[in-house]
Amino acid sequence: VTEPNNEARAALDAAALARVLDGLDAEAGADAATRDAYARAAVDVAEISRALGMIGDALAAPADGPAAPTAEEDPAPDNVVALPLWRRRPGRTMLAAAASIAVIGLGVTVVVANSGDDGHSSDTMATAPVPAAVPPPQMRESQGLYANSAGTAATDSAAGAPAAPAAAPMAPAKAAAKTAGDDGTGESLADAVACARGVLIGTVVSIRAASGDQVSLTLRVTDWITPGSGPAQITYTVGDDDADGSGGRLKKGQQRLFVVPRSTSASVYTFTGPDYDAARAKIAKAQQQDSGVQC
Amino acid sequence: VVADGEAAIHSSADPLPTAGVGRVRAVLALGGVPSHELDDGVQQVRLKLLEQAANRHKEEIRDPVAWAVVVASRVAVDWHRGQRRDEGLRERITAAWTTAAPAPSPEDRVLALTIADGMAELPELHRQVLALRFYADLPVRDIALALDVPEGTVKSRLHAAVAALRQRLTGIEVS
Repeated sequence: VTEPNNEARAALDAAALARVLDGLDAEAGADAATRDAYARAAVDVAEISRALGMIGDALAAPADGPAAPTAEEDPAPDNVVALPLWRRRPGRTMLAAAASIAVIGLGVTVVVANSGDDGHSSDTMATAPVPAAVPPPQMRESQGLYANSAGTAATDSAAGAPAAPAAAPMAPAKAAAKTAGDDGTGESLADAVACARGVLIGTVVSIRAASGDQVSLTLRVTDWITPGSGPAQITYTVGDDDADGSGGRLKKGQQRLFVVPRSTSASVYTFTGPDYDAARAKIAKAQQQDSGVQC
Repeated sequence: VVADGEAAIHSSADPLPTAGVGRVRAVLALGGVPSHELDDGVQQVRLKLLEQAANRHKEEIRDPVAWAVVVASRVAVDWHRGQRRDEGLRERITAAWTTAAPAPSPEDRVLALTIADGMAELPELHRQVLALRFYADLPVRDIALALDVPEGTVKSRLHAAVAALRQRLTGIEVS
């Protein structure tokens, strides 16, 4: 006979699992037990998702050879900033003068240097080219399997994918008037932050080819910024900036601060550097701006 | 072969994009298709894609890879119905790891084998949605659309499958 408290706990676990699978955050104002149940479910779902990735990749490999073709790549030192040649064009800087901006695969790596008097606060940053040319992510709604299913929900993994961050302000500025593409199109950091599906510090677990110019980016989260909490691991469908073969995609194992835009075809902004606080400050500033962007 | 000029996949000689082959193989394998039959499974998926493209009365395929993995999941279910279920899942995974680089950590091995054991016990329709949701990363809505079942059905299968696998996680240390 199941004891009442076990039954209650089972019910709590089931409800929490349902929320996680639906991509919902923990219930606002929930008690500690409910929050704990949600956290457990999120972790379990993330681990199951990760295990399925390992199993699938292992089994997909040809019997006489290793490694199914995926977009995963070996870890690379964090201080290596590969810069696609096609983006090495001058442009306007997005951040304050203290910040260096580089562009890297999968998205935009914003290398945040410590501001002020340390001219070489980071070797990486000091030596990184500063194209300031953010690629022009094309904003479009997420796609379904069929052409007539456009507008389906975003494809964040249910591995605890948080709902669209309600905490994100609706209308940041046109920060630096499109730090992005030289052609003036695209999405600024402020726009991306305003509508971000997630802002977090984490490590790249895997990058898998999704569809077209999209990839599935799985991150192990060490610190959620927006929303304030979430699963330990999450998968986002995002635009693949390596689709043109320019190289420089993020590498498995790299730790970054990620800003994941709302659009599943837009690039991810990533910050690196010795001081994530500086990046956080830029994010916070962007969040306070008002661009009037509609999320 | 392909009559529908509007189909997104018409321009390719191989209807299955190269980038999708690995994902199709993985979904087939996760569905229990034995390794020696994976190539046949991939061919079946290719045929389905060609048929879909040739049928102008069917919906246009916007995302051939996503569509292909759904087809692969169906092929896997059919394999089960033909009672050709793969019995050596754990052994195959272990064997695959011997050539994998980098080799997974001991903790990851335990985790993956535990989940593999749990997968082996699941009904094939539960395995199907599990692979489509968590390996192929398809949203519930798209899975429901592709399988022609209500979203609630996909959710309930997913919930049941994950709940069963969670039981397996109890008692093991995972990072």
